[in-house]
Amino acid sequence: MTTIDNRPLETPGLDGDNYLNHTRGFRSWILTLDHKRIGVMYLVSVLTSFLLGGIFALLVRTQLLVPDGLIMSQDEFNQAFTIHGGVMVFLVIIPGIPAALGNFILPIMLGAKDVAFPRLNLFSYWLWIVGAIFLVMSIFAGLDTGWTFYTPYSIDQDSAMGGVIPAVTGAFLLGFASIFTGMNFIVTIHRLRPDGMTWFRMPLFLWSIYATAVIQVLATPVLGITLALLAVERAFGIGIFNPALGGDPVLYQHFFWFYSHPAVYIMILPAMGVISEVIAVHSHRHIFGYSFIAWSSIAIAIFSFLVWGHHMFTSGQSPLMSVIFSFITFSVAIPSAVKVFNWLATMYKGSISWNTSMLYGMSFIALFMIGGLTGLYLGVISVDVHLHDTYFIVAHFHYTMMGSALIGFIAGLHHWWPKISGRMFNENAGRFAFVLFFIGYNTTFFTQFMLGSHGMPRRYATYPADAGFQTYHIVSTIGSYMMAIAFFTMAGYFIVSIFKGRKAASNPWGGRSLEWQCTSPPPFDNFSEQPAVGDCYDFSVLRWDEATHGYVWREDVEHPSHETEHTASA
Amino acid sequence: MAIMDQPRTDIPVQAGEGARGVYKHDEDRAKAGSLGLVLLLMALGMLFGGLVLAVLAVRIGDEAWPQDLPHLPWQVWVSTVALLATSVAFAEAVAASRRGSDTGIRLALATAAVMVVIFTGMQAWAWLDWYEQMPAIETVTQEHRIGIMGFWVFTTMHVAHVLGGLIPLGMIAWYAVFRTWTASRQGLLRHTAVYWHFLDIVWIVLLLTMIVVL
Repeated sequence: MTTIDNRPLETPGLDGDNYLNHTRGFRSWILTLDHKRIGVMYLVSVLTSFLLGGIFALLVRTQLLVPDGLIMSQDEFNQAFTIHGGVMVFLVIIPGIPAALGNFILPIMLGAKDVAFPRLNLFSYWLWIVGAIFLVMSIFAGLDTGWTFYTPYSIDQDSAMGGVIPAVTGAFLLGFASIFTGMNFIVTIHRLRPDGMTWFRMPLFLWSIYATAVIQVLATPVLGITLALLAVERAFGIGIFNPALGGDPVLYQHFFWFYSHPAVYIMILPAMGVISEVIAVHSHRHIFGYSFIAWSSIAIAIFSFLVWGHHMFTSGQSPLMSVIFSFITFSVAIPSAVKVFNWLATMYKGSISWNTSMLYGMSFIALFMIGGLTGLYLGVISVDVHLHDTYFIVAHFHYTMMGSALIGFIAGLHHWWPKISGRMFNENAGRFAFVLFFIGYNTTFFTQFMLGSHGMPRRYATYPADAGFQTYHIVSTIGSYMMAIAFFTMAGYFIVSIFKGRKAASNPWGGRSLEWQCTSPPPFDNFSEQPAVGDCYDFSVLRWDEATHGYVWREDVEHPSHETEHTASA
Repeated sequence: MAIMDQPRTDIPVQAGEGARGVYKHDEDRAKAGSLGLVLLLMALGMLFGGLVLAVLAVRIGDEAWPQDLPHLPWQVWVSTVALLATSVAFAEAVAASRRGSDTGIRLALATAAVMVVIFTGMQAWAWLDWYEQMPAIETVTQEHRIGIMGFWVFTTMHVAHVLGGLIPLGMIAWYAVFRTWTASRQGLLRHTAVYWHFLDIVWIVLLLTMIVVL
């Protein structure tokens, strides 16, 4: 039967009632229970933190332009890289996708009005803000431990660094904000899935957010208790991490990495979910190996709890443990490779749209491959012992945490920007910024693989002039400036799009998941009635509509809502 | 377990009263609340599990552990009985709610509140008692500080969660005394009772750890 469904052709939501104009005023935002507004508040907070972390990154890179250091003392350098790491990890990459994009998109993808616990969601956000304030306070109080707060640096009472307790308190609060967000998402996915959306009909972004949330709920409390013990150790000397009081500093590393290795997957799993959406939608081709991608997210979540010891091969842990951790580390590569294979297979013979988000999606695959494969080198104990604490490590984890997790966030931001803002950004400007970013990124970090393998240690403010490191440092720093220009360009075209951008259609990219069925920006309640659920990766039912500059349902294909109606009437 | 039985059906149902109208039925909201509680308890379980494991690791790694550490203060045992009684009182409150006995709910909640006061009072007394023994102990145990400080770390961590449990207890007591008893409040009571049972289990584990380790 041929039916015409014009719902995707609804007038763009900017003209009508939507979440941006449903209520007005400062209070309507700061006390909102609307998941979309909370998502936007997270987004603004995360991007502000990104600016702060980025400034410190540029300071670090500028310092290393010359062997004796250009702009900072050694103590200032230690504080600069600590703040850069702490802000980027705790305030940008961890909350970037789950809290900002996840909050905005997840309930709409489920066809729900909101998350399961809207008040808890708002509480999580403000807890996050308080935690962020504590963490940033450490800039003024002084903190030079590195973002890991390693003992014995962090419990050295003779150190003038007063920022340890504020920073640890901040990370503790941020951790609980993360736990509450994870709980909210798990319950939302369990209890608010619409009729017809079985587990294996969910968009893969939801699978990745679910797997992430499990890690958030189970691993983050261990960080919480570790940081709490660290704070009381520093304040009262309880003898848990301080060897002078009978404590064990390596115990801190075990506990820290029991959380922080899974935290790497808290960062990267949501990015993988974003990439699954971006690759499929912009290739206009059904995702290849749906169930393999879904299960690989769960497998990664499980494996992530079993590999923390590979951060500690040089810490003096038992050789047997190191061997076991080494083998398990290799096994994480399997589910990761499954995802990469399936993304590539999805793109194969697809009708690829070279949109900005797709460019970031494709670069994710390339950069993640480099980050992942160099991770395998580092999983080999003998290689790790040689490269430990060198710039090779810095390059490796930036390829995974920035080149993958942050790129996933940026890809998602471009992908859902029309839905969030109701406006289209300038694609050419987006492509220009991407090229600049991609070149700058690899100039910065690929160089650091060479630096590390030549023996340049990380966290050093100076280096010998005759060691042959300076050229690499100069090239790396130039790359970081290119990235900065790319990010400012990105900020520019996003801001311009808010004021001058073309109104976005409901479905500008041709997506099938439910968020593309509501207007851009979405109405306050997302959907006036529960939307019909179909195969969220079957793009063959859509066609481009020139009038609205968006995709609409093909006239010769029956809409699932009509199938539902038929079933109900029968 | 009786606590997790289905809610009564003869009391007013406020369908769709959830924030932002997320739920169509109160039953949906109750199920979401139950799952949320399970996740919260799992997270707290990891938190306390990490704490116990950390202290155990230090203790096991210390081959010269002093044998002359003081015994736990006697007040700890009284507070243990009070905490277990709190849990029993909550179980009775849930049973009274199922029977539809408003008086029973109020009586059980009042008992729970009194027991919580006794618990925290005894814990505070135990802290003072332990503090008075510190100067004598510290000189011989400077290199085994967790042997002394562990008591405060364990009890403080636990009592912080007891104080957190006072918030839902206060809310339920307010509803029981001043407001109509609805299905959603019965759900809150059940969830609060489960939380307090969890605090019991955590306390028993911490107590056993203190007996064995400290």
